[in-house]
Amino acid sequence: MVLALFAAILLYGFGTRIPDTIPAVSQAYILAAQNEYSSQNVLTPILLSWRGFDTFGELIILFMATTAISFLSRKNQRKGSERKTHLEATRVTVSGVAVLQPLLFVFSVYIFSFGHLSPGGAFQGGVILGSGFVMWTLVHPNEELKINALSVIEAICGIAYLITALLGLILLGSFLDPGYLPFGEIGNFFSAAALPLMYIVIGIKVGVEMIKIVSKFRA
Amino acid sequence: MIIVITAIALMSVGMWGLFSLRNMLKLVFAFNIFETGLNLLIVSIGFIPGKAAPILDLPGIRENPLPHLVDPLPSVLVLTSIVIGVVITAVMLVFVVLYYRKTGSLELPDQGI
Repeated sequence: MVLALFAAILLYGFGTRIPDTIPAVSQAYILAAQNEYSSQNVLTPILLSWRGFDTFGELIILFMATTAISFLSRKNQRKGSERKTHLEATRVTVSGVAVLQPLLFVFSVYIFSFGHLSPGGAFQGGVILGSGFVMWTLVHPNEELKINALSVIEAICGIAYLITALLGLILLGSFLDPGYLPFGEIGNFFSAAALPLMYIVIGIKVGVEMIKIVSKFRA
Repeated sequence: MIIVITAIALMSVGMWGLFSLRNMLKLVFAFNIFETGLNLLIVSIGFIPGKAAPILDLPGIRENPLPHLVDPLPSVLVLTSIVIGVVITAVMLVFVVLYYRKTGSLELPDQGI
């Protein structure tokens, strides 16, 4: 009964709307992405520059969640070391992962470094990097991961993203402004100023965080 | 219109699951289904039938982009919300694991919540 009411209200609210034009804000975003930023993907400058504070807070939430998961599963690791069992991967898994894993890593790097040209971006690429790590755990079920090295990579990428954001504040006077690099021609790989740089850094950071989260669940 | 109906159906399934299931793992699944429906609903706000994704790759779109593209703003907001959803799911799963290690079951207790 309550569900039917809920669905009816939502249907009335959203279903009766028949849009044919896009709002003025979005029109301004599209034109500015083409003319000012020369970014082929319209979503990228919105995500990283105009609404960059959202992305900034999102990365902080990701970092906090990784920290919380590490803290919560800290006791389990000590307990898990007592009852260690020896597992072995089957031949099918080993062969399949050997084919798929390099492809996944290359694909994830492609996704987050071409985020300003094609659909995709840092977060999707990072999650694909994490899924490549899931395949690694299927093949090597007994090996431990060097969490400290991963934390160092994550910290370096976080600081690098902060530097790319602060350079805009120092050189151009506004935070998260990517215009300190040349804008280039629309459609080229070296275009859209510092947006690809930010995407690469965020992609590596998200990927490492996904790997950390998955490795915490293995214990 | 079909997108809106699908999104609301997904949200209804997820909400039914959140209200009526007792297994914690299934609650996490129901939350994920609800969130998928919610993201689809937000994306459907910006969707206009017959228009392309906001990527300026074809020359015809680059010359005059405004009449050819859908609204990019809801997609960007959903991109943020998907990542937050993944993180929330991970934290919820950690709590489920801790609860299972402590009590040995995934069922919610009948009283005392």
